[in-house]
Amino acid sequence: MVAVQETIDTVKTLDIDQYKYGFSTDIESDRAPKGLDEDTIAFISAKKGEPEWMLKWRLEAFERWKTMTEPDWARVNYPPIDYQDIYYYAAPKDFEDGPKSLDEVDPELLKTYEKLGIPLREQEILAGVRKRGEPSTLEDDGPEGANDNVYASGRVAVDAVFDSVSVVTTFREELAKTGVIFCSITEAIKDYPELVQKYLATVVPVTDNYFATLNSAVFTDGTFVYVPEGVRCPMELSTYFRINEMNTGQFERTLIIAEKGSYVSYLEGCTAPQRDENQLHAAVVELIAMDDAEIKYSTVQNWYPGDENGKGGIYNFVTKRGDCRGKNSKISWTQVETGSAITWKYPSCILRGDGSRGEFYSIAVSNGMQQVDSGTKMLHLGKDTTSRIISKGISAGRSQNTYRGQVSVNRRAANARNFTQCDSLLIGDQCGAHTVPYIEAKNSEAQLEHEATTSKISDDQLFYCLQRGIPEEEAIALIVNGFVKEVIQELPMEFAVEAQKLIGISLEGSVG
Amino acid sequence: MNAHTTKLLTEAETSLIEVAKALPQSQERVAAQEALAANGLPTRRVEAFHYTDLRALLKGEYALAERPSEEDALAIGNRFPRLVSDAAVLHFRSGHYFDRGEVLPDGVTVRAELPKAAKVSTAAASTVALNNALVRDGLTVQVAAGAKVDRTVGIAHAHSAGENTVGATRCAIEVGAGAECSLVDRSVGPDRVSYLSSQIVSLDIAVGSTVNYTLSNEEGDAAKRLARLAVTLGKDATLNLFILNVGGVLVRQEIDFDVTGEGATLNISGVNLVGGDAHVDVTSRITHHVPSTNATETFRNVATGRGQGVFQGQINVRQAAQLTDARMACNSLLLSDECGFSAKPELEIFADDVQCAHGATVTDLEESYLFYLRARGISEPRARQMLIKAFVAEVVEEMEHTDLIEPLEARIEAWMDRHV
Repeated sequence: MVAVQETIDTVKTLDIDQYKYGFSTDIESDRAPKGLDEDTIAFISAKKGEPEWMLKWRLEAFERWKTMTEPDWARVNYPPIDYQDIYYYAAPKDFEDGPKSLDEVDPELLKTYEKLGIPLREQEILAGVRKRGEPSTLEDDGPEGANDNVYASGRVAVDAVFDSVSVVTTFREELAKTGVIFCSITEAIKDYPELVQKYLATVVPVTDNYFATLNSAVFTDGTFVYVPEGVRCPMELSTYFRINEMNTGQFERTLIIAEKGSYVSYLEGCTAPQRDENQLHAAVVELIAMDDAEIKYSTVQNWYPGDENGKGGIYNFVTKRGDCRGKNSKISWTQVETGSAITWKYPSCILRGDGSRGEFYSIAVSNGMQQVDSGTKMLHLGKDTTSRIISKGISAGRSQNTYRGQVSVNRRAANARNFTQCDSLLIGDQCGAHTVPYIEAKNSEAQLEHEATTSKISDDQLFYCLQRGIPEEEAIALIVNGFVKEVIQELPMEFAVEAQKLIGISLEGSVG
Repeated sequence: MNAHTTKLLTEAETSLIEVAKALPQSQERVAAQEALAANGLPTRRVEAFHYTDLRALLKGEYALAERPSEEDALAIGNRFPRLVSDAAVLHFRSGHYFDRGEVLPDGVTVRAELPKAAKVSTAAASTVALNNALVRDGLTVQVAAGAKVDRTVGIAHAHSAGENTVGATRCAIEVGAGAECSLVDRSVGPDRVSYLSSQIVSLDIAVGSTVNYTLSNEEGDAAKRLARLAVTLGKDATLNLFILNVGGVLVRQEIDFDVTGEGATLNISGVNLVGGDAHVDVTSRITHHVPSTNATETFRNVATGRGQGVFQGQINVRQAAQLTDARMACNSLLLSDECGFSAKPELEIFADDVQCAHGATVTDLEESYLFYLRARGISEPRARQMLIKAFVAEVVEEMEHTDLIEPLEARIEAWMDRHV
């Protein structure tokens, strides 16, 4: 129980609606004109200096999007979105001028990084003051050289995406030594067009769904990772996404390819300022795992959830899908969802390769007026494929929390195996917890198990803690952390601590 | 997505509307025809029919089943021996009611009149609308308050009309306060005749009553059956419901429960056997409206041949329904390469002080069990039969209405001899 005291301390410093990352950064930015048409797309493409094929691809997606209708099957309610009332591109302006020291960097930007908890040395790199490898302009508080061994544990390479652009990617050179490509998708389109063309939209087709098609037309940045054959990526790769500008949408696109026998662990974190308007976030993430490769994808999603009356907050409409293309490949999704006014997100695995394995570990915490409709799809196509789903939903306040998942076993998927467990915890009598699993077996050798439970924190457990002098709020945090332990332990260390804190914070004020 | 995009009507839709038009018109019948003409039969896009695309599955050009002669009606009844020998049976033949002057047990009265149309919830709209459009005969069965009914009351549906005929019935059963009774609702029909049967039963159970209700679908192997049982459960009332599906090539059985009285108990169990080319869909919804109610639901499914089984089960706990204890289990065995099973066990919970759980499994026969039996010299087909029988017997043997255990086991065995 690392987080308990810390959580409570943190909460004391917070506003009523407890969102820690609700600050906004007042940076002059470069924006595309409001609204969405061919010109906006051409503007984005030109800003990114994209080749002709990319623009064409975007325009085709846009044509298709115009013929589609917004899906309405999820258990979420929101007023209609005016897609013409959004800025589709916003970039911090001063970025290319190259400040010489941190003093010259827009202090607002630095504050942002500080609040995000990015260390000062990393901030220097993120702000473009120096390149990795150059000496720091800061007073030394420890030899940086200690970090030079790329195999040292505990280090994370960061790609920070601020509104529509990737501001900087760290550790790139060190990664390049092992052959790992870790850069923004914009750079990848320019530098590795053959890889991007080969893999982009092969997992989530352009026409997949309304939001994925929109993303294909207007995506602004995101991360590209390529891990060559046999390479075990020496460090955790991480992206911080932040929506800053008012009325902007963020449409990022992430593409991760793990070649034969490789391994990569990728972390994703998201925050946004506290604003009264709803902001749209429609991302697409595609993972491709070849023979014997493994991709571990972890998310701590903490977009601004809106205030306690449901005003403001991010609409998080995300399409995430992994393709276990090779034999014995493995894709594992771990997510901690505490933010967003509305979450519509189903990280899925296509288990195409024989013997491939998909995993989904999720904690979805909803409070206030939040609406979460999240889950996974495990599509068993190959023989001897296995999947495991552990989903823990916690609803408090007046929120609605839905698990929606599909496990489907194709006729050819002999010996497919799935285990699903969905547990929901209700805190308070104004919230709802729902479970909607779809289980489809078309092969008689399949073995599918699904179990779901819904209950509140048991009085016995609470009494036990109270009797030992643990205050009620802390006791609940303790029990909740126990409830989600199975998922937390799947997270990389750095994230596990953060996730525990977040869960504590998200539930503050929901007791009594 | 509950919106239809289809406007062109299929042959089946057009013919069903024509059948409805030829019947004496009433307000509900007109409304139902209009709904059918406007929306057609539900497709996969209607969430409640996600796994049963009625529009694609219900084919044929239907005509109304004429009232059979008394002789024919008697003859078809004799082909299917009774489940309970001393039961008082109410007879429907091809959707027409035949009053045989059956001696009813004390406390039970029957009126041969069509009960009010069922209230339409969106999920059931199609099943109800179709019945409203086609129904001609119905019954209202009343069990007096405090009556302890000593004999089983049966409703027997038998279809005797020819190919592509349609019969529809609607029954209301009202059980007064503090009564006890056992009811059997059974449907039979000839094999290799493609007929359509639409049945709706509403069952109101008043304060403190205990009802055993058994639904036995033994329709012919080419029959299409669209049936719905809607139950309202009052304070401290208990319903023990058992459902057996062994017949029909296309079956949609909706069971819908409104638990409206505190302390009510609902025990549901069932066996669905899906073989040949059958598509059997059991869609259940339990809504807990008030505090302190219990529900358990256990289904055992066996699919073989090219059979497709579907179980959709929703537990809905309203905000007022604190202290609900609801459990659901759906276990399925897949025996052949071409069969399939889809399950959608849903929980929809708006109250916090509840215990709700569901479990669903799909698997084939456990190899080690087979090995165990074979090692004892039991042939493989025999061993498989034993294991399947044991799998379903577990719920059959638990039946409250014990008179029915043996006859239903016999039906299950007959199905297995044919399909396994």
